[in-house]
Amino acid sequence: MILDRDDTKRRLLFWGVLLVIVAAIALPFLPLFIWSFSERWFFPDLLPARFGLRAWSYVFDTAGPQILHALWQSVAVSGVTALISVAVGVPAGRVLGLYDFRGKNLVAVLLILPVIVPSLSVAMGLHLWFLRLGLTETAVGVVLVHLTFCLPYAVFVMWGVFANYNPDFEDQARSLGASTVQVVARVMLPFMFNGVLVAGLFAFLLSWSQYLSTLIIGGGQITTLPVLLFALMGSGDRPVAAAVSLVFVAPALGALIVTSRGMGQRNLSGVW
Amino acid sequence: MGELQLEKLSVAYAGQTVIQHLDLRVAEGEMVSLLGPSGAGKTTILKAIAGLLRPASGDIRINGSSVLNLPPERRDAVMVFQKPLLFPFMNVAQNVAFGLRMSAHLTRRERRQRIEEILSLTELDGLGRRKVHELSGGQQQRVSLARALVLKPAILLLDEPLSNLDASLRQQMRELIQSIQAETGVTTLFVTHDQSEALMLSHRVCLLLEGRLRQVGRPHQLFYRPADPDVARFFGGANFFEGKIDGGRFTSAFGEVDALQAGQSGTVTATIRPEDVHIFRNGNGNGNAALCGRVKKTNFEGIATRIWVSCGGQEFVVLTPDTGFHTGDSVHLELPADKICLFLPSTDSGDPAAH
Repeated sequence: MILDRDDTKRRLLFWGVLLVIVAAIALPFLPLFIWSFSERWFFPDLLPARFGLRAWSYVFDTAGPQILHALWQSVAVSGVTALISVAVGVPAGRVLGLYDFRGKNLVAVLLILPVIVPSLSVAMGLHLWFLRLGLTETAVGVVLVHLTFCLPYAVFVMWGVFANYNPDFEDQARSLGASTVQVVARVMLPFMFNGVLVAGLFAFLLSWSQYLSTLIIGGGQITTLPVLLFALMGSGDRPVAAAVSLVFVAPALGALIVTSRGMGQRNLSGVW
Repeated sequence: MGELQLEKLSVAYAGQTVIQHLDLRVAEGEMVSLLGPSGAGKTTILKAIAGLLRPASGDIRINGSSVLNLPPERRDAVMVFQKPLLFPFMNVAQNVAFGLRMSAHLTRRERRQRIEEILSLTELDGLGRRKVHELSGGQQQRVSLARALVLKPAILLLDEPLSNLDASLRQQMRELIQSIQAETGVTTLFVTHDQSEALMLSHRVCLLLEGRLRQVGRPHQLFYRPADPDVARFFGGANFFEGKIDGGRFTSAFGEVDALQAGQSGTVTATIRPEDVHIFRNGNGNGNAALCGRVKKTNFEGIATRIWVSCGGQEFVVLTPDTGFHTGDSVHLELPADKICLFLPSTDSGDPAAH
């Protein structure tokens, strides 16, 4: 009986905490959601005077091609940035996590610099260089400037992952007949799976929400979703801005949900 | 099946030479142990043979041909590490299949059959679908062993595979390894710091002290005919005393023996194992005053009691199942002549690896 009561208590607590967390994440989106379906909504009314699909029809019909284009550009830029971040982050994290060498702390400081320096300063500084190199107003330039923010995060995540990695597993695999390539594919990467997922997600989301650096380096030619969003918000049409915001959030949220399933797999913990 | 030869092998680790000029031959089907204290560089030798570490100099031959320039995956020597190192993202059968998938060209059916065979050999029947973290420590170690055995390597290298297990499990595993080795006949070189493990499991024991092979031989040889006092000490020898050889006979205050080789003369050291010394109550037996003394200390160790006796200006350690001795007791000792072992200078000082 006592056990049962304890159990119910614990379950209540669990659901309570879960509810608070979900509410904290979801509530800010509620006004956006309502705005996107409102036709007329005046202060100080709690709810819009009239609901309607004007904003959404604008998003899907009138501005549809524009938004689709921006969506595609955002996915492309963020996807490529995330891929490069992981591709560089894995070997860099391996070196930092498994080996001791002089100047390791210096590397850590250098890595964190672009993160603590305001992105505006970084983008402004790089703009001059990119002008000379002919990289402004190109997707390559935008990816490069995003990498200055995303790459350090990926390296840091992989550094931590490799610090907990036992390279003896690789020796064991070699001795069992695996070539160097097979060791990477069949042993190292499976061990790194969660870490790569987290690093990639970090890089993707960080790149996804870049506005200033995209605007400065892309010069308006590379219109990712945030750039378009700011342009639409500037017009003062709140319902449309809210709808576009939701379009902007949806892919990021989707990426988070998909990868979180992988991240939650704690039963993968190794046999050391 | 295979034969392993190490020729003048020197191995450095972290810039320091840990093994120097090691010569060793492991014959086909033989089980040889590298015995030595922790940190003696035993694991480094296995890693060099497996190809995971490049030796500083010397040669490693498997079945007569040098493998120095072969990468680990192409050497017919598989190493089993101290920790099981099972891949956590694979189940038991997948772990065992790992090596077969990497290189051997087998059909799915052949592979499955080999895995079944090896799982039953290592007493893991029916556990193929288990996740590795659901296994006990002993089971994990057996999977690790099965993963190597399934490849039918020419040389099996075992790096203290039992040191992570508790005492009772370790005894079971020793017996299992012994029977598996006898059944498969796989040439095995294994590393241990546990002398009873080495003595029990090996056909031959190689004692490694301070980076050098000090004695190689059958377990009985090392235990009862140590080549030098260090070897004797390693196997628990504690009684050392000096005497003179003259006319083919060793004489000392504590006992006399016929020296095997005539023509020797001079001072030599002799030893006798603690359990070979006989101890009696009352300190006035059989006329040899030098062997009368007093008990200084006793330590009860279960099967036997260790007794420190001071007599004739010397301290003797005695191991006896008799539990009736106490500190201060007056006792006398007897050293059976056939149990006294002499360290004759220059006779055993040749190539210690010769056997």
